[in-house]
Amino acid sequence: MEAIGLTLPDWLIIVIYFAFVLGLGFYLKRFTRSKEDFFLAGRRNSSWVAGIAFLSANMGALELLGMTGNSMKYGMYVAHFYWIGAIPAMLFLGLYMMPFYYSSRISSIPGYLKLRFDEKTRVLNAMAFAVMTVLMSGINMYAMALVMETFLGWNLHVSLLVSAVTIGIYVGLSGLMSAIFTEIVQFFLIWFGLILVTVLGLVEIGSLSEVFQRVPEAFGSIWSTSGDPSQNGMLVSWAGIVLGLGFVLSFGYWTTDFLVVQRAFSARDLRSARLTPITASFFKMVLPFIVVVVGLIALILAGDADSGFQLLVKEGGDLNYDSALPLMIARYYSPGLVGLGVTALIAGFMAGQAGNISAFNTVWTYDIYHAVLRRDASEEHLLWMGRAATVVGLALSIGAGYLANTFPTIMDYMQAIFSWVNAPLFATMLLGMFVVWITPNGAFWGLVTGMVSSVTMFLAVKFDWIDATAITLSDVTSDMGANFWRAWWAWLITFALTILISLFTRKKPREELVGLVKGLTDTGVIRGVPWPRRPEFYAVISLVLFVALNLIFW
Amino acid sequence: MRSIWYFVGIILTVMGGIILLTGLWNLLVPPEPAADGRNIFQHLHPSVWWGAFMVVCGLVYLWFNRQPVRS
Repeated sequence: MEAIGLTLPDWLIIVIYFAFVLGLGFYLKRFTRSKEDFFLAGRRNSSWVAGIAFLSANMGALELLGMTGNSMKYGMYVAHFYWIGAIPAMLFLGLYMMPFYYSSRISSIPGYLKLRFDEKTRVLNAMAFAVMTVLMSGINMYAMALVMETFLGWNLHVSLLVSAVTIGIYVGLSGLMSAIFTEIVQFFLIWFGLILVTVLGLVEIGSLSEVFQRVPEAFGSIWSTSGDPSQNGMLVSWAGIVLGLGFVLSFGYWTTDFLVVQRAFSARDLRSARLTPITASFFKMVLPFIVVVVGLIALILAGDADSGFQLLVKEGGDLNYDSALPLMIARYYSPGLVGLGVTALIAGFMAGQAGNISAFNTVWTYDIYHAVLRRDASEEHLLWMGRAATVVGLALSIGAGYLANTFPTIMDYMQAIFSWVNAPLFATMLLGMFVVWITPNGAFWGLVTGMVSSVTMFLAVKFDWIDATAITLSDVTSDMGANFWRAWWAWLITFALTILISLFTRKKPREELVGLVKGLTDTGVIRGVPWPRRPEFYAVISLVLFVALNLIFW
Repeated sequence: MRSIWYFVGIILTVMGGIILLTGLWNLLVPPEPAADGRNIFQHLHPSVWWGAFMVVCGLVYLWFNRQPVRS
């Protein structure tokens, strides 16, 4: 396969990027003196900083490449991952869950589970999360190396090592502070590096309305063909989208995944923490205009024999849809800009990897090592352990990356992992935060059952014990549709069993739940504050925009 | 400690500057037209105006965040 050629200015930009992030890590080390500095960036960030970092930690290049490619197959349905699959959950986190998280002064999500329930629930979630982050970091790392090999001709193993060493240095030196600073830089590089593809693509096609006129009609809508799964390319009904993606997967990820929530914990006060996901929601809503529109333009060009645009072909003859975005960069960008586009992709990958590693080193240090292995560890020792965990986590990630990428469909495994861990956890967190009589044993056994049921359903379909349509309750389905529905069932099982077991097991005294449960916690609403200063004001604006976008592209 | 926006300003200015200078060089010494459907908007000189835009944004960030913040 033909690589994208890089010129001297392109290489200069790429080298400057690596030198810059390393330099940031060294610069910030002098301000990283305590474990709060290392694991929570000193809890001093504004909502803008925390909000952009919140989104950037999620905005991996694997997603950018994959979603652009998916847009060629499914059209505007991909926007669901950015709209109903994110916005309601982000607003809910900011308005209703952040008071519990921030007020309890926890350092991690498992830390909340310890306070609200008990140690065994915390350790269960910490171990599942630690495995998940290592696996996700490894997948991102290997996928980046594979992309660099495919599109640039770089040696796969060298690319993997260079990115791992770079992240290891800057996260190891300054922890979350360094991860957040570089995520913000990466956010700007991604926007400046990729929005131009959309702009030039629209110049070539003519206009946005011209784009929607030239794609198949079903590709321009996001809800009108969801009544019948066979009418849309994703083979999923509106119920699967709303319940599986919009509720369980979305809320399960955005409200409980420590990778993103950790950024909100770094905010300077409760108001800033609540504004963090709300601020991020505005940028999240705009992303389809980079990702999805580019995919639709690529679809038009690929169908036009005169355009000269052709997707790459994998071994075996299938089209490589992930090649759409890099090929568009090569099509539109001149020397210098190509380097910026490639740097944007590298930055996207590394933001995701660094985010996973910083979350891993925090959960390992606080929720496994300090909680179970060395309860009497000093602050200095924990700081050392955080740095050591960064190195070990990266090494494990590299191994996990090589292993996981022997599987055929990486994106499917990423979604499956979320349905095993985050979907059941969301039920536990929801009940824990809003129902005071949920018990520790109810939470623990409900969570165990939910996770086991999700893995069992996954294996049952994989090994043909049952047909996927038994889970989706429809005649036709896709892997993505099955993921949505499996997440929903896992959540429901966790929810129901947690309540049932709680009815027959011992409750924690109310005085131990102050600051952790609704009704016993300061919600952060301050009387007499003008409306433009309240998080609710911006959440309403975000919600109105979200509804408007869904109606416009109905 | 310098704020994060200061570093955003640095990176936008530096990278934008490289892209702008590359674009200006290609304006003065036009390269051979790229083959295989690449760089199809070479005649629009996107490096020049996008590089300039990045430099302006970077300088704005640098100007408004030139003072260190309390660490």
